[in-house]
Amino acid sequence: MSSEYGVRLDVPRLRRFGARGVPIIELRVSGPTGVFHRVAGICDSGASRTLLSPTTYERLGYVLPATPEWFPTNALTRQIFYVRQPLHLRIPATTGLPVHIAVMGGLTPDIEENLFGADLIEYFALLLTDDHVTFLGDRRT
Amino acid sequence: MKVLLIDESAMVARQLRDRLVAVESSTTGALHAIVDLETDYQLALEKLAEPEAYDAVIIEPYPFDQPAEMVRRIFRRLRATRTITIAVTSAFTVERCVETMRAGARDFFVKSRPINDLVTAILSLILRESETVGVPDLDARWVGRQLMRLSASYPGQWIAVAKRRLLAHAETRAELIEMLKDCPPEPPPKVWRLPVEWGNDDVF
Repeated sequence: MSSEYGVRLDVPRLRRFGARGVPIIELRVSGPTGVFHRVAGICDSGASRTLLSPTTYERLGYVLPATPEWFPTNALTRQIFYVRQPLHLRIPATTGLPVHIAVMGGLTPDIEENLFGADLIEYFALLLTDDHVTFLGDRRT
Repeated sequence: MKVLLIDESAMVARQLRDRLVAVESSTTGALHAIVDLETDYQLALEKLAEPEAYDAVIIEPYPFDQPAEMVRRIFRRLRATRTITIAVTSAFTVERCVETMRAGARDFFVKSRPINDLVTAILSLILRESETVGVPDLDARWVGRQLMRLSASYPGQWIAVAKRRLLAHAETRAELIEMLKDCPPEPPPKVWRLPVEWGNDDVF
């Protein structure tokens, strides 16, 4: 099996959070009105799914249902409860057209930072370097 | 949130940028604001060439040493892309304020205001406006509604969509781009990578 990939989408890590070590990147996420907004979040392959924090999902226009169905997910220190929400993500490409993907993400009041989670790995392998997070796809075999 | 600050005075622009970033991160923190500076209006216009380059632009609409036509062109471009535009000026008159608002600015501030007041007003305006700004992506909506059908028909494949119509599908992005060479360039197609499976709760 080769380690070469046919698709490389480089997303710069936000320098402002460099001191914290965790890779924070910016993708575009669409709200219920179909408008894509920039959303910054931790790219964490250890998180089981993409989760949006209250400040972000409210800005995108999502409203938690009056009687939400909560799903649990285990975090490092405790369980996080979230409401499932399909999300459309737009990943910028340095050259050529940006790439869109859909993930079954979640909205949760339990976190303060957005998470781009392991659901991205359903589409891409992630390569982390000091400057970039690279989405690798279309493995050449 | 990406903001472009256009002002011919580098010192004023830097001061405003530093206060914006400091106040934003210490208060709301919701924007994760990245603020770029530009003192040359021609270069600013070039930076705004990509429609989604910036979410908000803060501009001195009456610079001393920049051609007025350049300012007008910047405003025209911002208006076309519905970017949040905020005028911050040291040259206040009522006529200029009216002219700037008509050109597409969402608000008009004078630089003589205390800097913390000014920055707070700008940030709350950006936050408020960012909830409503933007053009709905009708192709994304269409794909969202068809996602189960599309992922069943083309699991794991790449698709291209324009005007709510499937243009092409392929196993790899390179193949898809090759197929798009024969398609009309306008409107530019949008590219999706489809999931292998969608809506199956067992996988969660």
